[in-house]
This record gives sequence, structure tokens and C-alpha cells, in this order.
Amino acid sequence: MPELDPVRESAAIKKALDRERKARKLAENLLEDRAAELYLANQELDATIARLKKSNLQLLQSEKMASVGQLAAGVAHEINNPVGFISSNLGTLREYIADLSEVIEAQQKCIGGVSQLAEKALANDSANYAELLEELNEVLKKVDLEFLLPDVRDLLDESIDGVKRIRKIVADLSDFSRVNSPDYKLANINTLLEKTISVAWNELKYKAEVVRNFGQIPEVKCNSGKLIQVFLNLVINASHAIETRGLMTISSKQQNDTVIVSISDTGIGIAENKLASIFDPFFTTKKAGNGTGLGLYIANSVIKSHQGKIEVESTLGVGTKFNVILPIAGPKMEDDGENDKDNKKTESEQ
Amino acid sequence: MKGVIFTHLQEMVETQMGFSVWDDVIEACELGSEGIFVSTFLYPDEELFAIVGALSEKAAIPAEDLVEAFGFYLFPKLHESIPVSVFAPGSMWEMLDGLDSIIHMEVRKLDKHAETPRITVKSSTDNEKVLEYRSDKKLCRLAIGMLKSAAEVFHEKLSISMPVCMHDGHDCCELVVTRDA
Repeated sequence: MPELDPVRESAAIKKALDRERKARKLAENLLEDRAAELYLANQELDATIARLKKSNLQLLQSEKMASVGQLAAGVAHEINNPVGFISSNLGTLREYIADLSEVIEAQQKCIGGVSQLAEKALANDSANYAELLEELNEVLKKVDLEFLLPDVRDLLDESIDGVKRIRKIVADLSDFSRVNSPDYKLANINTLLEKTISVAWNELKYKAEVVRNFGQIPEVKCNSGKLIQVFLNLVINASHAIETRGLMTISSKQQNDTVIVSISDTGIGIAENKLASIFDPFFTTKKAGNGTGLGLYIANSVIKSHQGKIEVESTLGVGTKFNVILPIAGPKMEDDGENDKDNKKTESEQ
Repeated sequence: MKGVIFTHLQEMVETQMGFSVWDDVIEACELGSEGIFVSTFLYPDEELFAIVGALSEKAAIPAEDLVEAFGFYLFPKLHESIPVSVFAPGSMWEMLDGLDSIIHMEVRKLDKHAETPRITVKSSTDNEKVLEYRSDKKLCRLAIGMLKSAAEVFHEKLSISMPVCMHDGHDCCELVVTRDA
């Protein structure tokens, strides 16, 4: 290369510097444009995340309502039964009331007649008394008060029991269908299991003998609405796994700082190669229309949000056992807060 | 062509030949960009070819030799810019094996506008690798310069030859990299 002329080199450096400044300006403009794009993209992303969180909660609720749908016929039957006998009892009671009215009328007539006789100073007219009493006795003989009065009590007791049964089923069902409360509160897991069995009873009673092995367990800090949903899902799955009639064992026990709920069935079992997928969303072995494939996925997420876990053991042709392990103290605080925040937001949106 | 190639070329010319040489070349070429290069922008390939042509004329160096020299200068700069987490080859051989499948793929992932050549290993033994080079830009001498520079970076003694070249009408260039005994 020839020797460089310092004057020309200096002028070239100035020009190079000028080009560098212009290049820097272009780079800065690009940076500004990208920052603005990034800000907008970020806002969009935030909105998408909010929408996703909302859809996730709606999904949870839809899945729950889908299981209510599956149970609807059974629940209707459970309610219909007491409604049937309450209605029949009310019919009988109406007839009894008519009879009792007749007795009361006869008694009033008798009392009225005696009063008149007394006024007319015909108190010693035994023939008239005998006539009045005869009429009353005839009515009493016809009505059979000895049978009627205890039966009225029985019919009322039975009807009250029936109404209580209906009230319990409806309360359990509405407990279950209610949009989940965001709160983690102390709850008795055995009571939740009883509620679950009550809601699913019509589904279960023809399929399985249900054995309860409820242990002495402490109250667990949990979201009871969500847990009932999990238990109901496991119980219905167990019932679907039983082809004709089998045994379902529902047990609870304490182990260190956890409570373990086990739901086992003597159903068809799950193939080993499918066990890994059962908690995947939309995975189902049921025929189309019989399952959304979201039940176990949601159950697993609910238990995870409690910082617990679900384990499964299954043998084809022998049966399946699900263990739900829940920390007695509930989820740790930071997770608690996160859940609360999400749920509160959705509640206000709803 | 990415601006980063132009900025490295500019840096090489300014530091090794002088600012006035680069300025003369830019003035002579009458480029659309006016010689204002931003590393993340894209510029027409023709601007690079025009600069190389004018530089070759001014410095009286054959254009291919200039391109190879630039490849030699360029390799350490690009090598430094690849994050260790993406690929940190321990040897020249390892780098050549991962050139297309890892390095170029990662470059394209990071920058959708990057137009990397396709360099694949046609055959390989412990002492020799035959690489196939394909690129519309036909900058095979740039690749040779980069390979020579890479050998220095990895402290290897290599001989590189190109028995087949796209400039002779072939579909691709064949670069033969041999370890010196």
C-alpha cells in the first residue's frame, strides 16, 4: 500500500465519523421502533394471558357442569323417589283431613245438641242424649281414629324425612355446581367424601358395593368445592370402569403431615402404556360423548394447586387405585396468594 | 447481505489500509446506502461486490484474494459473537461437524434475514474432511479465508484446497481440509 497522506487521512476520518453518526442514528431509530413494537406485543401477550386464565377457569367450571350433566338423570331419580312417596302421603293426608273434619263436625253437632238439651232443662231426657251420642259414635266407628291418628304421624314423619333427603341432595348438588370459592379453609375430608358419594349415589348403587374406610383424620386446609369435584371425578371414573357389578373402596388416612384419600375399584383397569397419558388434557378411553377427557387433567391441576399429588396403580382386569395425597396445612402461602388473586379476579369478572 | 459483514469489512480496511482508502472506495461506488452501514440492517449483495471490486482496483489486489483475506479477518469476529450456550466447539473438526446443523441453524433462528451458505460434510476421516459449499453469492474464497483463520483459532495446522469450484461452472464448491502431519 502507498504511503498515506495525513491530511487526506484526517479528512477521511471526519467523513467516517459522520457516516458512523448517521449509522448510529439509524440504529437508534430502529431500536426505538423495536421497543415500541415490543411494548405493544407485550401488552397483547398480557391480554392473551388474562384471557387464557379466564378460559382455564371457565373450562374448569364447564367440566364440572359436564359431570353434573352425567349425574343429572341419577340425581333426578334420587329426588323423584321421595317426591313420589311425599305426594302419595299428601293424598292420604287429604283424605284423613276430610275424615277428621267429619269427626269434628259430628262432635260439634253433639256438643251443640247437649247444650240445647241443657238449656231446655231436658238434661234427664236420656233418649235424646243416646241419640246424639249414637250419631257421634257412628262417625267415630267409620273414621277409625285409633288407626288414623298414628298413621297421620307416620305419614308426616316419613314426608319430613323425604323432604330432608331432597334438601340434602339439592344442597350437595348446588354445593358442587357453585362457582368455586377461591378460599382455602379447614374442611373435613370425610364429610367431602360423604357429599361426593351422596351426589353420585344413583350412579354408584347399581354398579358397586361402596365400602367406606374412613380413618380418624385432622381437618385439611383446602378448597372444598374443588376437592369434591376431584373426588366426584375419581368416583365416577371408578364406577364407569366397573362393567357389571363390583366393589368400590373409598378410604382416608393420615400419614405424617398429609391426608391420603384412596379410591379403588375392581373395574377393567388401565393398560400400562396408557397410564402415562391419563392426566393429559383430552385423553379419554371412553366412547365419544361419554367423557370430555378433561376430568383427570383438571383433577391433577386442582391437586397440584393444593401442592399435593395424585398417584395411580392399575392392573388390567383387576382394578385401579387412585391415591390423592394432600398436605394437611394446605398449599404454602405464596401459592395461596397466587390462587386467591386469580380466582378473585375471575369472580369479579363473572 | 447483513450490515455486520459491511461493518467488519469497513473496520478491516480502515485499520489495515487507512480511512482514506475506505472513503475513496465508498465515494467511487456511489452506493445507495452512501456507505452508512448498521450491522442489523440488510443491504444489497451488489454493494459488497462493488466495494470489493473498487478496493481490488485501488489496492491492486485480485478480488478473490481480498475476499479470502476478509474471510480470515472475519472469522474471529463472528466466532466471538456466537454465545457459548449455543455452541462451543472444542476443536476444528467438531466445529466443522456442527457448522451447518448447529451454527448456521442457530444464526437463522436468531436472525430470520441471515442468508447463510450451506456447508455440509461430504466425507470425513480423522485427517481429512471434504466440505460442500453452496451459496448464490459464490463467496467460496470467503469460506476458505474463514477456515484458515479458524485453524489458527483452534491451533491446528491444516491445508485447504478447492479442487471443484462453482466459478468453474460446478453446482457447488468442494473444500478439502487436511490435517498436516
